[in-house]
Formats: sequence, structure tokens, C-alpha cells
Amino acid sequence: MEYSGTRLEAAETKVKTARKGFDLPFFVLVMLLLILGVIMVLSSSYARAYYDPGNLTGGNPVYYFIRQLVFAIFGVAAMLFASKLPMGFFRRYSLPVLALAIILLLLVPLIGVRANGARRWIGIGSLTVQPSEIAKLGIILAFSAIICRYRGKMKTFRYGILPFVAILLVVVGLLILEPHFSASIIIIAVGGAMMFLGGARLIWFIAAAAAVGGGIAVLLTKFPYASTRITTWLDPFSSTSDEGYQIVQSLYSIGSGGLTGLGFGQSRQKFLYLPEEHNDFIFSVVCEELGFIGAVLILALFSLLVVRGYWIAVNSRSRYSCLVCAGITTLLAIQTILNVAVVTNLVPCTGISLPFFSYGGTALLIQMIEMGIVLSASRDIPASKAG
Amino acid sequence: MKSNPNSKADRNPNRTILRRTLFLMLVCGILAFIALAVRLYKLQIIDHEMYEELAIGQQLRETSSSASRGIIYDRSMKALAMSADVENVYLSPAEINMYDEDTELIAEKLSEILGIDYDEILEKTKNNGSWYVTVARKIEPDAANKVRAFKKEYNLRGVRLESDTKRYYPYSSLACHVIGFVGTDNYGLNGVELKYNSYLAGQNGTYRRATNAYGTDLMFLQYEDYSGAQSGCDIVTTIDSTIQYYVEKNLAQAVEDYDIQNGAGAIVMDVNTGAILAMASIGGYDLNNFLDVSDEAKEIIDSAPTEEEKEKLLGDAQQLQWRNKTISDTYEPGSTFKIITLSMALEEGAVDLEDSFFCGGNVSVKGRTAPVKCWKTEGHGAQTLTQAVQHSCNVAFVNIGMRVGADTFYKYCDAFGFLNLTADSSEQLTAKTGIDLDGESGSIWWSKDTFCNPENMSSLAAASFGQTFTITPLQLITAVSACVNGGTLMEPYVVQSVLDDSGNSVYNKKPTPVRRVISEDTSKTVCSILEQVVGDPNDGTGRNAAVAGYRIGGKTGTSEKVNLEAATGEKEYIVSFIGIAPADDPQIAILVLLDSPSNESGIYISGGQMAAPTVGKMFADILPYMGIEPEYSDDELKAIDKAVPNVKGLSVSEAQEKLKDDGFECRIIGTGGVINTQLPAAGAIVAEGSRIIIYADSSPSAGTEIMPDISNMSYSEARELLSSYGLFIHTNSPAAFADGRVIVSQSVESGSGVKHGTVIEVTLIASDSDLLGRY
Repeated sequence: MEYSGTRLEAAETKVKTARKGFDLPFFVLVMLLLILGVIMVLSSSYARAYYDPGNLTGGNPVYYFIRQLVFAIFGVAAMLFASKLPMGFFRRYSLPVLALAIILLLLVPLIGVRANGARRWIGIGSLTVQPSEIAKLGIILAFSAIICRYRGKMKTFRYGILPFVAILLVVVGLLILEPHFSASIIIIAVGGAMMFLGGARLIWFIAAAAAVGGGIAVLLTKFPYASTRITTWLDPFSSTSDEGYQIVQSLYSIGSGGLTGLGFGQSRQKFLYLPEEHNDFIFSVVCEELGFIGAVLILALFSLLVVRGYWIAVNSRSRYSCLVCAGITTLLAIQTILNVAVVTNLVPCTGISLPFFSYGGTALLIQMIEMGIVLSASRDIPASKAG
Repeated sequence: MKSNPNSKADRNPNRTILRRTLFLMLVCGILAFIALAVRLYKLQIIDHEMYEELAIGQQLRETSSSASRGIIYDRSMKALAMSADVENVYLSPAEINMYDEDTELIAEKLSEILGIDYDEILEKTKNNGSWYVTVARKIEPDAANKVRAFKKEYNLRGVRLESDTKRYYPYSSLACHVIGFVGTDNYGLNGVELKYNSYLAGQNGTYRRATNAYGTDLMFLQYEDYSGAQSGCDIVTTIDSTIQYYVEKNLAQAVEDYDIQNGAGAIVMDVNTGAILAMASIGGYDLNNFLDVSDEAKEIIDSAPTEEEKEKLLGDAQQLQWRNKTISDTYEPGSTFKIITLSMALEEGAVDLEDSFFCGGNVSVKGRTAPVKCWKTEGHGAQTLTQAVQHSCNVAFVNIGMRVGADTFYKYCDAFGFLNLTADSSEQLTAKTGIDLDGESGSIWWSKDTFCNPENMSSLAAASFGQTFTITPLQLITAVSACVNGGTLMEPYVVQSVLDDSGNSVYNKKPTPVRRVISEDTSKTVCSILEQVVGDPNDGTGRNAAVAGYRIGGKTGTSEKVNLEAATGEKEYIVSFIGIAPADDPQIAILVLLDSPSNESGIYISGGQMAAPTVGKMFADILPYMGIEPEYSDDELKAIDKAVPNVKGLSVSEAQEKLKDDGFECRIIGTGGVINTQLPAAGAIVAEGSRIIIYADSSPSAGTEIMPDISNMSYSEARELLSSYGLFIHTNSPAAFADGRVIVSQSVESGSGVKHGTVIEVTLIASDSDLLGRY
């Protein structure tokens, strides 16, 4: 961005570019989902925190809730702060964010915290953060910036495919080392969406789809681990694996909710039957307590938020803003859709958290910053288009 | 949106981006969410009930509180079986693992408290997948409290207790075959415990509630359903534990005295009601440890070469000791069945008391190649009807049977409950009494076509004296009761009432007449003839069953196991006696069977020599207990054993006088003037004429004597011999001083040490040569 030198011009520019209010519908939807999410963390985590089979909470039933609440408050602050920053700021730091994410990912094998057989976390004091969450944002920002730089050359392989695939290979390669397959899938999906938005030829996506299909076929035949996942997915009730148990318990929860649910706080499955009930499977508790009506309403809120996010992207003042908003919205949509698809056994089980709902402080914080970025972009929308 | 490629072209999103963004909006923002909503509709609405049921199935825990099992009483409300609260100890290894509890401590302490192997418990604590592993069942409150204290001290969530009940049998083996026992699940497995299980068991309480995945309570109540335990009813049996005791005591004595190889059985029945007052089989078992077998059986089992064989032998031994011989075993009754033949012949007028029956030692029967022999091969000569019964003459009874005729005989067998007539005359017939116990066997009878074949009377001939068909002992005593109670066949039973919690009777058994079989007059005649069998000291083959002061009737029986002889060539007998008393107005009947006495015992194998004295001793115990007063004849009064008077503190001459007056002799030891000790002590009952030892300022020597062999001596010979040892003699056998009575058993074995003044109990029987025969 360049500005003219005179005071008048500067003043005029300032008026012209004075930032307007952010998009209120998007903000309201975010806040609604956040509040619902934090409340559901309270309801779903209560029993596990109380019985404390893992000796974590000391039997304090609101242990998880309080922590999540604190992060939610910080998250709202971070969102509002991010919404104040101009889009140029983010554009300037697009590549550094990705670089930071890659450095952190490189550090994970060295100083990472091990949990459930994988090293995915980096600890800063008592806080832990997943570099993969930062990488998701880094990919969106960096890809947007690169697309803007190479605009017009996106249909070529050299500019439209190569740099993106190279970056994705590095990031995904590091994630697979952790290993962290679900983050890999999301990053590939988001990166692919960015390339798609940037104007890469569709033929590449068809080719990629074919390659992925072939890859999955090879995976299933060569690796028994992968094929048991598939059999578990097809028939969780006869599976003896942990995933099978999780899915069965999830289906019990969702199914027993019925039309109107057992009522808020009345889940029975959360009493240690359902694993990860305040985390990856929190939506199962939502379905059990609030029923089909409540679950569909919450899905509707997500749907509205996603549609509004794309609307902001479409109406953005700059190509960069558009790409970033569309990227962040796509990330949000993919996470939500995959999470719900997993807990309802539409797709094979993998650990994907539900935005705004799943317990996890730093992930929530980063999500809120992403929302702040969309809100920042929404401030630049001309008044005639706002609505 | 306007498209203007020249102005701000690089700053506005171009068409491609917009189109593709809108595409993503459609897919990720709308279509995908519709798909998810459809999926939720399938799970939450369409399949809702299935999932709800599955979820509730895992969320509800059902705990049951065991109902206390009813008490089994005897007829005078003495408890024969009762339940007490006990507890089961179990582990929840999953929780032990979850809360990281000290498995070694648990194993050590529980092993100490419960006396169970340490390693065994440690092994159980490691079974991580399980929430319930039993460690000890039915432990007493003391031990349970220790476990509870230990659990509390270390706050162990993986060590659990649950309530249960345990069955106790205060009289251990008494009436074991009638009472039966219960398994670990508190379900009756034998006897009354099994037959009346539904009454005794009550209703277990159930408590269903929603719990968390560890089976513990939720933080707040979400679902609860409780139904209280309902105690079982109490059962009052017809068994009289005192009579049962007398029966078992005398039966066990007989088994020992006669070296019985195959067990023995006895039934005491109230002839007027069919109520079973006692029912015993030997060998019995301790109801409190019903799996334990006798030491003899254990020895045999231990000597088996393989584990498999040991297990099989143990199982066989258990089945054998649990078997109620009196209802489950069938046998050929032999001569005891002559009562039935006699009754039907009298009722039909086929014979009367004046008829004469000649026995020449055998009789030819139509259709039978060899003539039927009487047990007395030289024959009984001419006899009256009463004498024919007294002699148990087979020849006479073949004639009586012929006079009755096969058709009538067969009809009476149906009436007496030995067979159930059917339309099919070619079918072998069977019947049961219908007693309220499980395991009753049915009789086996010829088909009507065979029995009533006019060309072949051999079946009828043999049946007349009780052979070639089999029945249960219970069937025989039930039929004989009908012969003597005035003619009505009663249904036998062991349970007279069922009482609920508050003592109200919910079931009351009224004596159930099945049918009238013979007239009252006939019954009276039968009784008087049977009394002659026992009461006639010269002609009665049942005279060894006599009891001084009582009118006893009865009939002997000795049956050879024909099938066994055919198979192995071995001769084995079942000797039996059925007695009734008082003969003028019968109240009770006693049947004793001794299966396979051994030749080693030295006593002639027959019902009259073995079973009759056993029944006599039972009557001697039971009749006074029932409050039936003895009426002694003068002869009996003279012969009866007497109580020793107290002479302590008297002067020597006074003591001599007093003892003489009471019919005793005396022997003075010491030189003092006053008696300070006497042997035996006052009140001891010894034979009349015994020499009482009185000590005048002196004390008995501490020495012991070697018990002499007094078997086969007469009562007075034995009295004199024992007197010289400073020992005394007593018997319950009647007519002890009568000719031909000899001692067949003594309470102290010869050769063993015995103290001065001991009273030796002996049994005498008549063993005249004319009594020795298989009748």
C-alpha cells in the first residue's frame, strides 16, 4: 500500500480508509457458537472431571470448564484485537507465520510433549500449543500472499502448482512424522482449496483426486492398520478396537438423544461410557442432551457462519482478503463437517476437534484469532455491500 | 459486482476466485450440512429406539438382594434347615488397576483373613478386564467384617462384598434324604429343598439404577427401580426328628452288626394318614457338606490311578449317598408281600381263618416246569391260615393266590397302587405313590396278558409270595398301611404345611385317601394275623421283632437278587421286615430293608434274624416316645431289666435288703459299716438278678478289664460271666430270658478295655433251627 505525501491527501486517505465496523452477523454467530461451546464443555466434562480416572483434575468437576472459559475470554479479546489490525498487517506477516509454524514443527520431535503415542505439542510453561494449528493459519496466509503475487500465472504448473505443493510436502511431511494424520488431511484439504480458489487448473485436482484414490487403495491393501479402520467404520458394533468402542458409544449417545434429547446436563453417556466426551466427541453429548432439534440448530449456526464467511470473502475489497477469508472459512467448515461426520460414523474415525466446542485452550485461541482476521477483512467491505 | 480489468485489477478478486468461492460456499456451507442433518435424522429419529435400548442396556446396573430362604421344620417345629446371612467377597480388578491399588497387599490380607492361597488371589487381581471376580463365597459375618475393615482402612475400591445366604442343617445328616440341600446359587437340589424350592426360595429383590461406566452411582439420581426381596415360606414336614433319630441309630447299628454291603433303608409311616414320620437311607451324608463322601469312599477314590477316574468315582459316590433308597430303588419284596395276598384273599372270601393249608415242601404250578419250593424243604404239613402266615409258607400262599385268581389278583395290585391299569393289556405296567419328593421310581409289573394267562400260572404263583416283580419300599409300606388302617390306601407325603412370613399357612396337606381297598373287618383280621407272626413265641417267624409290653404285628421278607445271581452267580439277599404297632389299633408302620448282608457277620441271613430285631428295637424306642404306654404280661414283667436303686449312705445290711427286694444280688467290697459307693450308679438299668457291687468305706479299683466274647450266649449265662468281671448287662430285646434267645451283638467289642461297672448293651434274637430259612 502506498499513500501520497501531502497532509491533505493523507487526511483524505485516512477518512477514505477509516475502518468501519466489522460484520455484525459474523460476530454474533461466532459469539453464539463460542458461548454454546463453552457451556457444552461444562456439561460434557463434568462427570469425567469429577470421577477423575486419569488423576488430572483432583475431582474438581468444573476443572475443564474453568480452563476453557479463561481461554474463551482471552480468545474473544484476541479476536477483537485481530479485527482491529489492517489486512495489510497480516499480508506482511503471511510468510513469517508459515515460517514460524515450520520451525515449530521442526522443533516438535526435539522438545515436543508426547501424548497418546504421538508428539504433537510444544509446551511453553504450563501452556501447550499444537504447531499444526499455527501451520493451518500459516498455510492460508502464505498461500493467499503467493497467489496474489503470481496472479495471472496460476494456470501454469511452475507458478500455480509447484510452490504450493512444495510447501505442503514440507508441512505434511513434518506432520506425518509426529504422526498427526488428521491435521495432515485438513492441511492438504485447506491447501488444495486455496489452490483451487487461486485459479489452478481443474485438471490438477482431478489428477490429485485420482492419486489420492490410488493412494488409499494401496494403503488399504498394504497396511492392515488402515484396513481395520475401514472395517471398524463399516461395522463398528463387531469391532473390538478402541475406535470401534468410541464410535459405538458415540452412536449410543447420538441415537438415544432422539428428537428432543435428554435435556441439558442430562447425558448418561458422558458418565465415562463415551471417551473424549468433552473433546473430539463433544458433539455426541450435544446430540444426546439437546436432541435432533438442538443438534440441527447448532449445525445451522455453523452453516450460517460458513456462508457468512464466504459472503465476506466474496465482498472483500482485495483479492488477498478474499482468499484469506475464504481459506479460514473453508478451514472452519472442513473441521466442523469432518468432526460431525466422524462422530456420526459417516467417515472413518480420526481425531478432529469441533471448532468452538471441543476442549483445548490454545486451539480455541488460534481459532478466535482466525475469526478476528475475517472480521478485520469485513471492516473493509464498502458500505453499499454491507448487509 | 462490476468487472473492470483496467482499474484496481489486482486488488479485486477476479471472476475465477468469485466463482470458485461461491462453489465452496454451496458445498461446504450448505450441501455438507444438509448431509449431516440427514445423517442425524437417521440416527436420532429413525434408529432412536434401537440406540436408546442399547444405551440403557449398558447404563443400568441390576443388583439383587437375596431373599431369605424359608425354614424347614419337623412336625414339632424343630428347625431342620435354616438360612443365615453371609457375604461373598469379590474383586473388581478393573478398578484395582484404574485406581492403582496395591495388588500384593490385597492378596496378602485377603489370604490371611479368608485362608485362601495368596497366589490365587494375586492372579485374580490381575484380571484387568473384569469388574467381578469371586474370591470367597458365603463367608461368615466375622470374616466379612474383617474384610470390610481392611477395605475401609486402605480405601480400596476394588475389593467388594455382597450379601448372600447360607443354608445350615442343625442335625447335619439327620433325615438328609428327605430334607435335601441347596447349591451355591441357593436353588434346592434334592429332597424337600428341591421339591418345594418355589415356596422356600421367595423372591429376590432387584434394584436397577443408572450408573456410570464403572458401575458406581451417578452424581445425581437419574433412574431407579426397586422391588423388595420377599422371604421364602417355611415348610413343616411330617418328619419327627426324634423318631428319625431312633430309626437312623438302629439302622446304622444293623448295618454294622450284620455287615450290610449295599446300604439300608427304613420308613416309618403314620398308617392312618400316609404321613412319613421318618425316612432313612444308609449311607447318609452331612447336609452341611453334601459334597463330602465317606472315608471309605475317599480311600477308594484316592487309590484310583487317574484324575479322570477319581472324578468319576467321586461323582458316583456322591450320587450314591444322595440316593434315597426308599423311593428310588425298586426290589422284589419277597414274603412281606404276603400281607397283600392275604388281604385280598380275605376280602374276596377266597380264604377264611378256618381253612387248612397243607405244605409238603413244594407245589406244582401250571405252566411251570419245576414245582415251586417252600423255604422249608421238608414242608410245614397241615396249617391254619394264621399258621401259614406265621410260617411264611410259600406253598400255602401259592394256593391262596390260585384261589384269588389272576384277574382279581391283578385288579388288587392296581387298587393297592402297585400298578396302574391301562387299556393295553399287552403292556408292562408301572405306578408311583405320588409322594411329594423327587426321584421316585416306578414299579415294574408283567403285562396283564402275561399275568392272567390261564395256560401259565407261574407269574401268579410267584407274585403270591412277592417275587418276579419289583416295587419301591415306599409302595410296600403304603399298601401295607392300607391293609391295617381299616382298608384305605393313603397318599404318602412328607410336607404337611407351608407357612408364610407371618406364620399363616398358605398350603395345608390334608391326609388324602386314594381309595378304599379292603373292608374294615378284613383289615382287623389281617392285623390279628400279623400280630401272631410276631407275638407267638413258638410259631411266629417274626418273633424277633417283639417288644415287651407292646402288641406288634409284622411280616418278614428275604428276597434273593435273582438278576444278580443270573448275571454273576453271586447270591445276594435283601432282608426286610415290615412291622405295625399297636396291633389292635395300628398307628405306625415301620419297614426296614437291609441290602446284602455279608456272610461274615455269623448271623443267618434272613429277614427274621436281621431285619426283625432291628424293627423291634425301633419300636422299643419309638412307641414309648409316642406316649403309647407298655402293658406288660406277668412273664414279661419278671423278665424285664430293672433300674438299680440308690443304696449309698445305707448300712451294709440295709443295702443288702433293699437290693434283694428289688431283685438284685450284691457283692460287698470293704469292711466299713456304711455304703459309700455302688456300681453301677443308681438309676442304671441292668438285667434282673445282676450282682450289684457295693463298697463299704472303700473305693472301686481304677483297673480295667478285657471285654469277653459273649456272643451266642444266653442272657443269664452272659450276666453271670460279666458279673465275674464286675460288668453288667442290659437289653431292649424282648423275652431275653426265654429259651433259644442268644446274644448276637454287644455294645463293647470283645477284646477291648472296659471299666468296672460298665453296662454292656446286648441284642438277643431267637435263632431256633426252625427259624432259619429264607422267608
